[in-house]
Amino acid sequence: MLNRREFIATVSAAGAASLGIADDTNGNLSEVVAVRNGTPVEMFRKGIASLGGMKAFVKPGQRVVVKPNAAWDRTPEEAANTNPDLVGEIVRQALEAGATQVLVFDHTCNSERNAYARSGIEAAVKGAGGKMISGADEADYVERDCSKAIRLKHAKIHKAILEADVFINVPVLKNHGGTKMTSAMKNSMGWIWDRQYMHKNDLPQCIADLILYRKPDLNVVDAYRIMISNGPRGISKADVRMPKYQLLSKDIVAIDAQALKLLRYRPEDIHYLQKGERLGLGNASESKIRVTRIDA
Amino acid sequence: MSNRWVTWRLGRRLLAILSAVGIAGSFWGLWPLLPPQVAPAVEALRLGVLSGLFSTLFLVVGTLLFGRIYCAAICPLGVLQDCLPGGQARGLKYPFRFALLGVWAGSILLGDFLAIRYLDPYSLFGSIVAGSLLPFGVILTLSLTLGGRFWCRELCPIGAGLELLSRHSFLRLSIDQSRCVSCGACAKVCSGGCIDPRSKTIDSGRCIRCMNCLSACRLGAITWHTSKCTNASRKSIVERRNFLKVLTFAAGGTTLGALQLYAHGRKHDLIAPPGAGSLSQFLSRCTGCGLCIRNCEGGVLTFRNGVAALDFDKGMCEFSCANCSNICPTGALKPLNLAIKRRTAIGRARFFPTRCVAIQNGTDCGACAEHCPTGALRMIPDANGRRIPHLETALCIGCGNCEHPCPVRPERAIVVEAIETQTLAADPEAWFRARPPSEPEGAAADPNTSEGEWLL
Repeated sequence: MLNRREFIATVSAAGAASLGIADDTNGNLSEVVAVRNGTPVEMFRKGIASLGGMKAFVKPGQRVVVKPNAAWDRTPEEAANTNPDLVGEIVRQALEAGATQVLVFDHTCNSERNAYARSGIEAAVKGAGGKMISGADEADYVERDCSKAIRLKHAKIHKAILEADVFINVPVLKNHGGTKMTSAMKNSMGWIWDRQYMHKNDLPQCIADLILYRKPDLNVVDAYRIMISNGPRGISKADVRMPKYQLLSKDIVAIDAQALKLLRYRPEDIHYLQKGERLGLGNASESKIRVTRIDA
Repeated sequence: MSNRWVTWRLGRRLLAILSAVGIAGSFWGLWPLLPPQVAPAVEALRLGVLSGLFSTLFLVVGTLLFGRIYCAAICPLGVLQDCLPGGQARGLKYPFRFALLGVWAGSILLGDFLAIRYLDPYSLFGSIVAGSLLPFGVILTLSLTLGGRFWCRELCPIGAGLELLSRHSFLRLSIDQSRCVSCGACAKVCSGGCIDPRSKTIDSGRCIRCMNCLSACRLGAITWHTSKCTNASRKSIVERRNFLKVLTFAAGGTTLGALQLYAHGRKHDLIAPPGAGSLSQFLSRCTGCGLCIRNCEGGVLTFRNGVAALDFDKGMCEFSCANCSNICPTGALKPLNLAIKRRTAIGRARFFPTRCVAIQNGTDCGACAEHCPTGALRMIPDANGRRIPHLETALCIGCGNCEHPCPVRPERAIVVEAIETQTLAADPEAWFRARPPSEPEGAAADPNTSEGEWLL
């Protein structure tokens, strides 16, 4: 039996699909590249090469935005933020592919100054020639509407996301108290201004809705170190494991549907996956995902 | 002739600028270089903080040598008034400043700082920096109507206290009786209202060493002298009528200071910054200068009843910041190292299940647990498989990382309540080591898993 909300979701997704608005990954296989057993930089080099290299995503003269998870006043070893070396490498490769600028930001949970510094991401981005910008200023967020969205009809989105030609989403894989897992889809909460609205109004649905406002062109899930408990902040290093994995995909739903296996979660426990698939954001079901496995 | 005195005035101004820069930098979190301030120094001395001894000694010795240089160049409220437009200088008939000094002394002796919060010039300046318009409005109005530095001349209790010392200062400004023609040019520019051109005398106690008179006197009749070779007006102190007046006002003020203790009471439910020890202790020690408020990384500190307190509508206490406790100039907050600060419970979270989104709507939320730095608040699956907040009070430090992000309004589902005494919470690492998670989350994802079987 469908409840009213699910019914509306199904109907609108079906409607969207029939109108041809849905993502082209629907129907086709979604490709997820999984790399393991190397440093974050090595794994990214191998992974991006199998997707045709950075040149397949970034054309000369384009403006690129990279959105890591840099929300926490935690060190790289504590695995609450994306690995800084990986972020630096992505910035470097984007510039090498001819990007005119590479902006990096997050709407942090702890104070921005501390989170940017302690995560090591600010230093890595600067070292690679990118620009770390603030996500803490409401004036940088632009009001947008989305009629396709089910709960998040209006949102203030960071202008760097809206203005970029290429959008690369680089989350770290973690346990999450509220949504069980945080990975590529949940990383979207760092490019909206009002997170409290999302928490209050069916968080998993809002996460799926938020991605309608702008879908990343490339997702890179950092699973070099992962947080298996007490996420997303973590208490101590006892929460951290080091499987040395990395996932890459254009499909933000498919990449999360694969990433959850590293945490031994069941797809039905990650509520935003099905909601994302229903909105046509990508494929969650195993039969529609092709995984390429590479040993770095 | 008077030109060489311009240098003196310039020197005073340079010192004022230097200390203003030091103060501004301290308030904007650039460096902890606060020049010694009287009220915090006295309070720190009372609490036995070593820095209080040094600051007090510096101020006493400085005043005994040069007079009220604190007023001239170190007090930020004084320097601020120098920058404001001033009207025709007028004085008061009665020495109200000694009444206020009495209030100050009375409340400091009895251990309550309510009066100080509104009387100490440094703390008043701090509240102006932190955005209070009222004290600024009062100072500006006084300056415009009753002349520049009216506060310093007629009201300031710190000034009145230093006046008693400055009367005996070794160096002082005095008028050469043979040169002076009683033209009154010096009195017109005097910030202290201490020059009597007719009797050709300067009251060394009231003189705030602004040195405006030095360059104003075209005859060069005013110069620095040592206390030995001057005939400066000592009689004003010993004159019986004046002395009685001062004594009456001071006694009245002290009584008032004692009385306000009872009027004030101790009933507060505010959450004091880490290092406060206990709430009543903190309320009797915080001068409300706002230095910690300006240096708070979480933006959670604000003024409540004239003292610094946490307001979780504004922000949350950053786990990696202990600025407030380490910058406090009065000792109201004891310095805490980060490890201790991270376990110092300043309040206690209380969970209201009937308001919670995860429980009432059955949708994922976890905003509170997401930010909790100690693991006191975690999302635990209930019988229906919903992930709902679980509060472990032993780990809670009252930092508000749960209350601030909670999306429920008007009243949040998790609220940090005030506690009287700050205590040491359990050590999260040890606590969780003793209680490994029952959920087999990620059990197989161990460091060696990148060998062998693929996990996906």
